[in-house]
Amino acid sequence: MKLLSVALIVLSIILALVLTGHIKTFIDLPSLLVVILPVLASIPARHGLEGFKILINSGDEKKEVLHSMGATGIISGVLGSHIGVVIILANMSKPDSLGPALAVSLLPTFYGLFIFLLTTVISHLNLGNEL
Amino acid sequence: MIIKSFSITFIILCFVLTILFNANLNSFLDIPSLWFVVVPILFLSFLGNKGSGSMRNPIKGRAISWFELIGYVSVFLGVIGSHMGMINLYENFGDKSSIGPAFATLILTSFYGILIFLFFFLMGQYKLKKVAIYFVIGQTVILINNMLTLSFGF
Repeated sequence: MKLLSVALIVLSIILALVLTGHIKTFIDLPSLLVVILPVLASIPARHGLEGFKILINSGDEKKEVLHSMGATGIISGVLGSHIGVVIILANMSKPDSLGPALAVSLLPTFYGLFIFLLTTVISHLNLGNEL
Repeated sequence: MIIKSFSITFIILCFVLTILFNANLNSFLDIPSLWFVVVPILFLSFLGNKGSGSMRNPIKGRAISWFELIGYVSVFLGVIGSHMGMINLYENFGDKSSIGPAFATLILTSFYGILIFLFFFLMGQYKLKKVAIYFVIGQTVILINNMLTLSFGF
């Protein structure tokens, strides 16, 4: 039941993107990498290599690992947006291309907030004790 | 300890490589904003290092550790710096030559502040307070609002 609710949250967000008809706008590989790689690297940085083991098993320490993943997601997303805006300002010769470039520079924050939502929901639902 | 330092270096390297692939590293260097953020942080680090005990443990009589305090101070310095940049930006909005340095202060102070915040968050073992997360998200709102004003305001 709990897993179903998490899946419902993810599906509703994806459905909203599909219904507005712009799912391709929300996919950008460099923005995804600048968020995903720090989030994965934050587990050994804060909890050592045992962090991956804690994440798979259930327990109280799992909440800490999920918290560090979510917080790193938000912080690295905001940093990615700052980098994107500086890149726009550095090549601001064509004002027409400013709209799409600004849209791409917002994507890391979107991914970071999405990861924070998922980790918050999973840590407070206490998934893994009963599936 | 080796794993910890290796992964923190990896995370910092992620951002540096993203900058290097897409833009010039020089556009991310601005001496006044670097001075504004880094000097208080260095002073606080020196102060925390001088005191007894590890910087990871709570300050005597307080609920937070030195790492946590330095992280929050760096985020708030970024917020203050971006507001200073905004004031400089809108004071001389018609003058195109003064927009560049003002906007550099606006972006780069919060960039350095949040980067230092991430570094000290990964170094310590504390849970973040919600206020810090709100401030970090609010920086994006400030950034995008000023960017839109700049691009469509002329």
